[in-house]
Amino acid sequence: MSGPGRSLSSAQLVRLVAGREISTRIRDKGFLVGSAVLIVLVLGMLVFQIAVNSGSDDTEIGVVGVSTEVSTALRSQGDALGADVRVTGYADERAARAAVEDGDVDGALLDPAGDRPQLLVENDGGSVETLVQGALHELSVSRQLADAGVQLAGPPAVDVVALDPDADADLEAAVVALVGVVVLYGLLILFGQFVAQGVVEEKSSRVVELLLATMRPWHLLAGKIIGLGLLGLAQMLVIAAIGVAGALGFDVVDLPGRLVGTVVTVIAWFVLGYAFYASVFAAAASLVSRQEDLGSVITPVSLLLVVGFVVSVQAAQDPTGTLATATSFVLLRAGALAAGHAGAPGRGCGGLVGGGRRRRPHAGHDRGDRAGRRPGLLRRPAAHRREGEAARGPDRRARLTPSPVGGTWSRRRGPRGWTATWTSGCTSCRAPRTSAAATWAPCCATAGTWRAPWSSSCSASCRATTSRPGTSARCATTASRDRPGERVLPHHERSSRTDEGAGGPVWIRSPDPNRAPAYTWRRPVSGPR
Amino acid sequence: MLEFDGLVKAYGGNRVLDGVGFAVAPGQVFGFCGANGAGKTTTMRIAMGLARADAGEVRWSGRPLDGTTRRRIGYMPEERGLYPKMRVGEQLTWFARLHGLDAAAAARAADVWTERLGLAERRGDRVEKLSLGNQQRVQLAAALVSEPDVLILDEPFSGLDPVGVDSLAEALLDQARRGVPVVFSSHQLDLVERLCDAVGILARGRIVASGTVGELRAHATGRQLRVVAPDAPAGWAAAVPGVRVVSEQRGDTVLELGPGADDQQVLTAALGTGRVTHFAWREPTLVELFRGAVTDTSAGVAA
Repeated sequence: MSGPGRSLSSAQLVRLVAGREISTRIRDKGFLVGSAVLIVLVLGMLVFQIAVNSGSDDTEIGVVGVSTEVSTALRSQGDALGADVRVTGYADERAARAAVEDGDVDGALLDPAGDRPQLLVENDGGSVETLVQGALHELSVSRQLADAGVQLAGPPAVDVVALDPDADADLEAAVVALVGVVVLYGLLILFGQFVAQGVVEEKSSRVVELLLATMRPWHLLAGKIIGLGLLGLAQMLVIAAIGVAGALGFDVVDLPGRLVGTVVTVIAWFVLGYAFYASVFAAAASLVSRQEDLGSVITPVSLLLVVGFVVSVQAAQDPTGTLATATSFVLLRAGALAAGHAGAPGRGCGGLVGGGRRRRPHAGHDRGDRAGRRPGLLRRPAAHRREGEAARGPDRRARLTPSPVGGTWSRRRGPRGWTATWTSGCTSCRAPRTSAAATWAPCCATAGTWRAPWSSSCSASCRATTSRPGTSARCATTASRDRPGERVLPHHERSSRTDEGAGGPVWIRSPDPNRAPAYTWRRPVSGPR
Repeated sequence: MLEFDGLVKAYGGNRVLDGVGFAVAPGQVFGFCGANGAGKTTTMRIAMGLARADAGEVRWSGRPLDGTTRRRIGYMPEERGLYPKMRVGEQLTWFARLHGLDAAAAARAADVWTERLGLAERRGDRVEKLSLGNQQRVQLAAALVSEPDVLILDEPFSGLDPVGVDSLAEALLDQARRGVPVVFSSHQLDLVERLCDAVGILARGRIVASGTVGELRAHATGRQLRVVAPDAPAGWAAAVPGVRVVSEQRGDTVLELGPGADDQQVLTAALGTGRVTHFAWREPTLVELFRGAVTDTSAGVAA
């Protein structure tokens, strides 16, 4: 046959169909609005997270006649109780009273060093009362001991054995996975519908007669699914990029490594889930030839997705449970489930998650370190477990490099308990933040494994549990840095101790209450096993 | 040569096509007529591979049509098929590309055809925004835009205004001049008569009459002569041998001349009555031929 056209290969036909799907859909108002709504939803979820988590649980205490000693005591007591204490000095009782009434501070402590200290609160002492009581009690005891000439030695460090060090990390993983499942589910439904609508549109407008005169039905189906799939993938990537950037930018997530891993997994499963569901939707849609009838065939397929979604949400809460394991073999909810798995540590999908296991510090750990001179008194069990693990691997620990990035650990009380967050830069003196992700340090002797600055464990195969990065801060104001074996003045009163973990060297505070707080380096009391 | 050969198609017990066969030469415009439900659309759908014939085949250049050769056919389905939300220009370009044109040639062809069919200003509009007549033009442009080797058009003229009919007819004749065989079905028999080199009349699942319009006329039974003689008395023609009076009304007489009857004898008789203002053979229109063929129960009329 003569003519200007050449004959097209299957790939060219599929590409043409896919190109049309993309170019028409991308200019469709409905699609644009839907995408915008989806992005707004993701951002909204972020903002919601921030709003929920940022409820500052700093305890503000005003002190009249403040001394470093008192504020240090208050802070370490706060550390022990799991509250960030901020101490503000006031000149006299009137100013302090006004501050309490205005709600600037939670309580005002009058005459802390005297015989009858007084605590002003708005209506109820509550936790402030406990905190102040404890701090003054401790101050008093150490003063009396010092007066009696007793020299305090560092209290023994407690060895703790962790039975389930991952338990805490599972929660956040589950949350990240859940968000992934929601996005995955939404996009699968959306693009499944697009495919179904496209098929019916062609049937109802009879354009399929023109098309089938030039190509085979599978060209048309493949082109449609691939075209819309690429569009869905692009949309997924945009949402993922926004979500990840937002989560990192706003410090919503403590585990960037695992977050990225989960996102990658969700995207990978979108591809598989979409290929499956799009085909099912297309097959269902081909049974009818009018838009009006579409609902009746689409509903069963959508229900299938919903069932998968519900099961996935269940599974995300218990990714190692029988339900998750059993259903993960059923492709019907493949996509949705996988996200749940991705979030779960140490499961089959771990390979996609970049091996991120136990990167997050335990909440209690931080507190234990800051309250280094009184280990074990009020620490949460998690802290003990972490340090215990460190103690079991002395030779590994010896090679550990402390985090080169300055920063502090802070805790926040979330809806489901305490979470710890690494903040680069110094939170106390508000020095400018440095890039948290900037430097990675070699973690252990195992070749090729690296430890992120925020990481408290080896991310790779050796599973070495490291001591968490020290709180040594490169403070912009004083630039002093703690080093083991030296006696240094902290650059400010807070968080300038390094703790390499129980069994390792610890910083202890000078017992002399009359001297300015100083920290000396001590050999560990209990040797490594 | 595009040949339809012995097509048989039955839906259940209903035998829609029962051995339909005709041939269209390159450059020929073939008008495909038939009553509603006669099987015109089914025949065309079989040619396009959208329906499977129970027997028979459609050949182009002696070879049965397959996917590759079908891509060189411009097709216009009876139920119009366009993407309602796609813009006219893009849609035409896309269809041209499906038929194997590269992107630049496709865009050029889309421009040319929108221009020729009077759609130049609607190129950027979505198809659903156009009037039915304009959608029809886009549909036709979609069939023509790939510069096909064969054109198969199902009811291309339905719903067009006279100007649209003219531009479409001109476009079809252009294609035929290019050497493209054009098959189209239509109920507008005057159009078919005007445009077509050959006509096929489909009834009861088979072609009951086919050939040029002239051939069909020649085979039509009886020839009619119209004579207007205002002063003639009633019954003036009855005496002429071999003549049957079909109608007579105030001097306007229609006569049917049997074999061997002499028209000059009729003229002489008419002049004998006085003034003659009109004397002419009356050619049967295609409509009359069509009625005759479709209502004729004997299937042996085909040329």
